[in-house]
Amino acid sequence: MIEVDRFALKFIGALGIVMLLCCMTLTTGRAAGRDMQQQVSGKPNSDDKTCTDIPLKNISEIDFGVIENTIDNAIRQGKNWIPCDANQESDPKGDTPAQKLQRGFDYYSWLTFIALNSPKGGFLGAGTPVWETYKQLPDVMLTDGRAPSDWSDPNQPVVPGPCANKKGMIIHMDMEETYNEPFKTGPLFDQNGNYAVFVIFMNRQMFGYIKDNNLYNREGQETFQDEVDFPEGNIGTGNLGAIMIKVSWKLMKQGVDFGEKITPKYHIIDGLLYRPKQKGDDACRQVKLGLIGFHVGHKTAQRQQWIWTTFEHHENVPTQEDVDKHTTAGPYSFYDPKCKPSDCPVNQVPLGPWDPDPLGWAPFPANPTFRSQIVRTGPSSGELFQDDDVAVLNKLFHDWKRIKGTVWEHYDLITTQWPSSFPCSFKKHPGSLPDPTCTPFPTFLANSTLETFSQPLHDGGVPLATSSCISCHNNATTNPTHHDPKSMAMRSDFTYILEKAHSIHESNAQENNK
Amino acid sequence: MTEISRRALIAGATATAATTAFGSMLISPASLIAQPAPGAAVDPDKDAKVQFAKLSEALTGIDQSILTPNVDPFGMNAEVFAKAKAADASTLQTILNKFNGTAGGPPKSISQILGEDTKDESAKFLMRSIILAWYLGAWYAPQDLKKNFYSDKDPQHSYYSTRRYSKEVLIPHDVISPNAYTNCMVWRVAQAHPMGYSNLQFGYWGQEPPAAEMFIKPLPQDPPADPKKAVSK
Repeated sequence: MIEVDRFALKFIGALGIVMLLCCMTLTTGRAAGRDMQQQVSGKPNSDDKTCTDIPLKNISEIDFGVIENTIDNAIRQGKNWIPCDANQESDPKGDTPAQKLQRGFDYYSWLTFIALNSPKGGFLGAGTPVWETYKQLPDVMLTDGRAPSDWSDPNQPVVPGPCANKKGMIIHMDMEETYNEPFKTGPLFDQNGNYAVFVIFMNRQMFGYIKDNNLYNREGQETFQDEVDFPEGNIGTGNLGAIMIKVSWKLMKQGVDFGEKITPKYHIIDGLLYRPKQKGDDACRQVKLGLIGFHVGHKTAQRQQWIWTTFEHHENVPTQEDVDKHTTAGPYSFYDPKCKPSDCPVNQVPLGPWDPDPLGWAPFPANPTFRSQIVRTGPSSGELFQDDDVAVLNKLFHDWKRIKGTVWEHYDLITTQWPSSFPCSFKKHPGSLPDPTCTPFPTFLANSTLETFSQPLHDGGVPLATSSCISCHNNATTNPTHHDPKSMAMRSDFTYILEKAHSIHESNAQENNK
Repeated sequence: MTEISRRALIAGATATAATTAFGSMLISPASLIAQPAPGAAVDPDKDAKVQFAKLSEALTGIDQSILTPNVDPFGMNAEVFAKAKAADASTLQTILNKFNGTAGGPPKSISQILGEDTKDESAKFLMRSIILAWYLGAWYAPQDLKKNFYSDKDPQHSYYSTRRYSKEVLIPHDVISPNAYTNCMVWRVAQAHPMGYSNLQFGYWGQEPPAAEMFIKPLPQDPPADPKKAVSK
């Protein structure tokens, strides 16, 4: 779920290399406004060896005082406080096995969301969220196949020439993964006619494993003999484990989403829309980006299939139930309540082209060619869990005094998917199991901004076609070169990131053809 | 009985697969939670379903934890139970009472229950339907199984004759649900997967499948991890 379409890989890889090598000047270094920090190895350091367990009695009795004290202590001690694994309720109240377990995972998801969106050494709002300092996918899988730079804190991105001396997160609009959803199901346009854009990150432990094992290019993947096995989070040892994040952004409009006398509802950052085919300022347009979707995949000792968390901004879309009952309460970023179904059929993609360049798209077009009309179609948590646990948990965290009144109260946990069969999910090397997915629960899960067009239907879904984090990522592989005819792709431990690797030789061939 | 049924099952599975419309494979959210939540109406069959799971383990030879996992998104036990109850509630209750010893006497084995079967062999054929349902994800009505059962008097209509795939001999059946089809036990026993749907990871076709026992028995618990070794690289 985190990364896009594995089938797009070859096309994107070839196209990306041609475009990037021909049209862009790579400069490594720092983006303006970022302070150079001490370089460290790609290997885990002491930060990754500490995590903070905040036990859960049951969600009816969450003690935010304990949570506050635990987090504050961790911050004072300079410790990481991202959970290393999910805990379960120590005093569950009746209910079904699924519901009891789900609560623990959803609690874990909220703690993870808060921790990742807090700055290192601080709490929400006190600085740059820690995940924004992680490595972006294009900074690891370099188009020329060379080794990525060592981990630095914060990340020092590869800065394309047009973006030099500009401040902001680089959004690689030249990569299809940035504007097209998984399995090339299509782009998502907001009500201003702007693309929703997607970015993938990985934490130090995930990056360290890739770098230390030379998995950042296709040649390295060919010579890699072991089974891919990313580090795992472990409450007992305090090891954080591999974390990958995929986020979706919406372009923020001045005077509406931010500006004088406006209380922002979104987590907003500076972004740089990198479009190498454009000229002048349009080749790296500075914009404001608002966070609308937030996926986390976290490998842990007890969940070798990873734990999958997904959050959304509250104003993204209405649910199908809202629409059916005429209880939509906009405005929504991706739905116009005033537009009739005959004029705005829901959950449709526009006719091609989908690429922003041939489409002639520019931010905030005067005459948008398309606005998405999206509803959330899957079963609500109330239908999955009769007490509507997720809604209850969302309200508890929204009302927490440290979140109430901040932008973070506008973000909802959709839910958490986890492998429900154990000891199956504890087993290393799940590829050798009869069911390597260990029965994902819930069976389907989609973020309306990241898997818009493969959402479950209200009454179910189609296996391997409807969005399911674990089932989809179970098919992920490496992408080795084939200098040895016997070399073949291998399963890649539930991440598509390794499929994005490029070949050194492909790059050399491009250079020679110049 | 189990021996005979299993042999027949492989042929039946082929027939079932061939006649299964592999169209929509919708998974109903209603089956996501097998157990009712608090406040929900009490399931009058709650205890019977638990007993049915034990009976099913004995009939299929597959561990109950496989048939009814703790978290059960597919709820196949409830689906097969519902079919059996709809077909012959009285006989099903008799079988469950005898097997679980809830009718006053000690629990009885499958062979003992068969030995006490009524003249019309209702228990025998209902249990056979249950076995087929678990293995094939399809419901074969007990009366149809009986009608097509081997008979020296009518070898032309024997299920075991060479005509068993002909239209007039093929035992009528309904696929219980898409879930039942993809999660039925024949795939596990064959160490395989249904057409068009596999959870096995990339490259599985070039490797030996996991041992058969891993498909039908609970996976062994690992010894407690050594925290020092558990530290990731």
